[in-house]
Amino acid sequence: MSRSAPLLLALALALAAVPAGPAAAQPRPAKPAHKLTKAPRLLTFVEAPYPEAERASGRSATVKLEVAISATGAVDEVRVVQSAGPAFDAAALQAVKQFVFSPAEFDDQPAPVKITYGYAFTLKIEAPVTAVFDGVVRARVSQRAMPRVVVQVEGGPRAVTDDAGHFHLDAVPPGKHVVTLADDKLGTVRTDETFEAGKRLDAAYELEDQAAPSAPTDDESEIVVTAPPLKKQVLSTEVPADQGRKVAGTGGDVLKVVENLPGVARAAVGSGALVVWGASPQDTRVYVDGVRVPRLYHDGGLRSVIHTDLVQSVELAPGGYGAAYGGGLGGLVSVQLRPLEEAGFHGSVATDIFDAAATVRASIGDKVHVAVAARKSWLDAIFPRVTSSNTSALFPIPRYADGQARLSYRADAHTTIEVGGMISSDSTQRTAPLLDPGNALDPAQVETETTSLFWTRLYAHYRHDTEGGGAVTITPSFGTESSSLTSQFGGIPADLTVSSSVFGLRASWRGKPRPFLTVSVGLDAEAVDSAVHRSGSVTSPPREGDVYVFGEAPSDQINHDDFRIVTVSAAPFVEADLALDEGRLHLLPGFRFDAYAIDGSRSLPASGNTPPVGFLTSEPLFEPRLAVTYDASPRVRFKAAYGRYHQLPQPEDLSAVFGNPTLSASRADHFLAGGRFELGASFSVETTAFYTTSTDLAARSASPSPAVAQALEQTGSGRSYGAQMLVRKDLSAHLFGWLSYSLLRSERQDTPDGRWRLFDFDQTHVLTALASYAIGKGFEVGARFRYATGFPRTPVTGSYLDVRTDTYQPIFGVQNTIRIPAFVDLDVRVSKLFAIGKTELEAYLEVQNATNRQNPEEIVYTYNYGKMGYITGLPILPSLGLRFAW
Amino acid sequence: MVKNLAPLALAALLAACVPELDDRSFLVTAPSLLAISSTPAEAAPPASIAYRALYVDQNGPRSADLSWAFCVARQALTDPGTVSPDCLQPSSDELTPIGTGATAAGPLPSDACRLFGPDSPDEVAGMPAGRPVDPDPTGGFYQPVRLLVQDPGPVSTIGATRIACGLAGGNATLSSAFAASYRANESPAIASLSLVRASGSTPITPDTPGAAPGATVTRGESLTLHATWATCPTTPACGDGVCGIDETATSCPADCTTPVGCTGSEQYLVLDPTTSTLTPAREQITVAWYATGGTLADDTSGRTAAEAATTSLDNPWIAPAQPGDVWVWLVVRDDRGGVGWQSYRIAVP
Repeated sequence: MSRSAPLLLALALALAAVPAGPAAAQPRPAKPAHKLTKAPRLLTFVEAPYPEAERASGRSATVKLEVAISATGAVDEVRVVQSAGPAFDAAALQAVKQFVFSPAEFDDQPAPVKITYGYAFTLKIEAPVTAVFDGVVRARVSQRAMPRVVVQVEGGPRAVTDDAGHFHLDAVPPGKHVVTLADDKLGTVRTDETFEAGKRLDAAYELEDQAAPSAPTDDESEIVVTAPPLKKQVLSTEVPADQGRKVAGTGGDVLKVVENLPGVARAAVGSGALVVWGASPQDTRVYVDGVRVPRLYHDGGLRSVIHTDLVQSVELAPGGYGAAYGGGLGGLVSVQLRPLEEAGFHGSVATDIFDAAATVRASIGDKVHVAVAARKSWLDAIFPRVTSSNTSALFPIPRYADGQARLSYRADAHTTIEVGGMISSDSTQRTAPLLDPGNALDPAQVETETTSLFWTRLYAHYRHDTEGGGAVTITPSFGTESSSLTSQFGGIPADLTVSSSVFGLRASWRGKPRPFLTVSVGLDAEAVDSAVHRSGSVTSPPREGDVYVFGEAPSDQINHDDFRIVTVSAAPFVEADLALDEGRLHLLPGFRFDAYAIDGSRSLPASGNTPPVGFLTSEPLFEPRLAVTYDASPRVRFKAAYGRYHQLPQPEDLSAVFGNPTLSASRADHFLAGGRFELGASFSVETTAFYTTSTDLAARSASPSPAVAQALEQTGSGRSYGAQMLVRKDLSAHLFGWLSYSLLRSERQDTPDGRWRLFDFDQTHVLTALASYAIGKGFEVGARFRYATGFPRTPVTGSYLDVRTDTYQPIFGVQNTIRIPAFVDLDVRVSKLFAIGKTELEAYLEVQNATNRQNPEEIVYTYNYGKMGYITGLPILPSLGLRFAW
Repeated sequence: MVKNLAPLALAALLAACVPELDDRSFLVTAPSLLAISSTPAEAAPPASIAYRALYVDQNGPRSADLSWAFCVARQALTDPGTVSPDCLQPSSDELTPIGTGATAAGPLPSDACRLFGPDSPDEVAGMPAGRPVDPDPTGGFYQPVRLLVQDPGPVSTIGATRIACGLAGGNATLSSAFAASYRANESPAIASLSLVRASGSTPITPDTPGAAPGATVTRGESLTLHATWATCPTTPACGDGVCGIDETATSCPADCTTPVGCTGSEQYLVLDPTTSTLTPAREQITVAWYATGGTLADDTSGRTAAEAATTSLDNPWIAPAQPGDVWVWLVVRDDRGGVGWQSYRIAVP
């Protein structure tokens, strides 16, 4: 901030220049008769720093110096002739000693000279480019300070309130930003704030003690709550979009960050499957603003199905969540979309080696906002050009596209209505010849496979904030899902096609009848009408628990079935939050009553001309939930939760040929306990131990003569137990990151008297450490390190030749008693943000598997199972991406 | 040779790597059982079936202590592989011995169509009706036969006989039509094998014990083995020697009084479950190539049903650099369970 006045002009002070003879110490010319024919000229100026000791004063000052210049132009001696203070004098002396002049000339001859030089200091104040944000958060009714509230400026820094409820943020980007305040009890509330560069914004936020929204107010010092708080789960991890998209290895996709959260197993390369707390991938439900969607990631796991620019945050609750949600035995992923409240016209275009995407957001007047996003992969166009045809044939290249459209209307200060739509498409296709050239022409060994998934959602979202601090939300939705898996292994066909219409309704009222009590009641209903066509082997595609070797041909005993399944479920629920012990103790009981019915068109396999006989299954399900939190101190919170959950069978499992039409809901119970410890304003540690059980799981019949229409039996059980830890550094000082570690064991028992075996997706250790650091000038660097135990596999102890099919068949040892070697991976990311007026261009280079480690992903064997080897995953994979936004 | 990477939904990315496991199945360097044939290739229980095995080593055909048995254990849906694990035991209540030696014969189990076919399994008191076995894509069902090789060690190999159990999944009309028109499978056979050089083609005489090698090649010579099999009629014509699917003993007594099949890609009837109609189909033919020396390009090759009109296969072969006789075996299979083979001996001076 300081810079001395580098005044060449000061040389004009040569007005005092005089030649100096050998007796340079003399202050005046030895021979006055000499005539100055050329004044010395400053050639090298050295800037003196503004003294730190004087910075507080900020005063300007000039030090007058006498400078003795030699006949060569070097500075021989400097002394102060008029002091401006010790600090200024020292700085000036130090700088001037380093000056270089052109020699003075007397009578046209170089000669030493003395001049008087005035070194001027002025404290230069650079124009501030950021704002300061100070404030306090208090409870509205009790006026007590609210510690540990996370205050986040969208796209900017983040802080956590101290014990007095205060927070302080530096380096806030100027402009209008959404500010979110969140903590476990409060939920998340949002407001808009406008920051001016160089100015300080002081805010006092008064929040409902238990998160009921307040009406907007004209008082700038109070928060304008634009939405009721989201009911947080007792155990969940939420990642803001602006952080998630910077995580190395995610390709800028915020939803990919879910893979890095505690409790989540590493998915096999390219699968994108979410395995949470040892539950099957289909057991974890995914919601986008309350609308259930069939999956979070596209095929290959490269991208999520929602554009990052529309995402506000993503939250993972691995278990023990509240009564508002159900229908799944596993975890809950909740994607919160970004509020459409910006004025003007905004958007972005982005591309990398995987795909290209664009978004547009615009306001139409003050009340209407729209947003549209679209993405299309082009990996299928690039990949064949840069790899061998063999590689392309072996591994299906995902082709995907998605789009979202939203229109938001703010009817009044209390009411918003949004209509939106989501569409997503995935497909893969490949013809995979054997890698062994010896069987390349064997038609019995050539496999073709085509997969596709197309789904849509159309929804409306109504929200009304009531005067009493409550809120009413209603979200009806309609969608379609069409999935297909068609393969031909030699002459063995397989086809599984499911086409569904999905009707959904979520409605809730939330109120605060007493100061210590918040209540939420609602309805979660869904109807799914599915037409299923299935043909091929009963054991194809493989399901969890099947013993087989990667690449093994399916059984050539085939069948087919066409049937229709309609499932209807309606689940009224009630939740309460009782704040006791001055708010330190919270009891959150909940109850969900889920009544469902399954109507099927065929209870027995087709037989001749016998007309099909349908079936109807119905059952009431009772799902108690309970959570407790206790704040032992402002920085220490303990928590525990229990919940019972049910999940309806998959439509394809209700086949009279391939499954069992009498399957009913499976059940799970979640138990968890843990604590959260804040070690600083932005540093926290959260640990949780958990235990889950599941019963009535569908498993293949182990009978040599299974009964008709009972290829699956509801005899399976499961259990998962372990602990997870999250050490998190929230964004501050340009750094954020976390370390997550899960230690768990997940087991299955296929029959009541069977052996407990490892779950196919069990991973004992999953460690993820990641960080991102803004190094300034728009540069950010990040890295992610992952370690995960390999998946269990069943050892092959021998083989036998089946001469009819001319194939060796494996003989297996004990199921799931060996593992694929551990996965170790380092990803790095460097990005540079260019601010161009009101637009910005971000370029990033992401390198996955930066150490080029050959991570085993699967076990393969020779034709007679005499030798084994590993298919390895991604080699080092650099990806350059660009994103332009305005 | 690596198992192909088929059914796993490894929607994997980019250049994932596959290990190089260089085992090849064509090269015979140790005692190996290459094939089992049943005669007839397809029959209804309790017809008697004659079995023979192709058991060889690096010195040619080999005799061994072979034990034959029908396996009568059904495979559970949870059992991996193609048969019940009980079929692989040296002895078991689920095994019905039928003989020892290079050949054996025995009647198919009378309940084979209940155990391995479309008939419902025997009911067990208090239990619901059992599930029939599903047919293969050609509509076939198979009675497994276990062959235990004691030398060099107890090794089980599984063969099978296609059992005629009628139509699975059809109504009475279709079943009746199927019974009238379906023709039992005939095992395929290698019609000829030739050495193809730039100078022309030389047929190889099949091996006969005590006879001279069927052909001679030079050391390290590169040439092509050309195998053929019979051409089967696609349009039934009475008097063509094959009892086709539309011919009966009444309409064509010459071909169908004693139905005769074709040793190539036969036409047969199969039920299309999606349309509930009987449709004609052609067999797929595959040839497994084996040699005791040199290098063959293909271990197994074949012609799909769509290529049924082509009745030959080529396989490039580089003769060994060392002198001596080389044994070559061709095992030909159709996808209805028929198996045939031919043995050749080639001199490398």
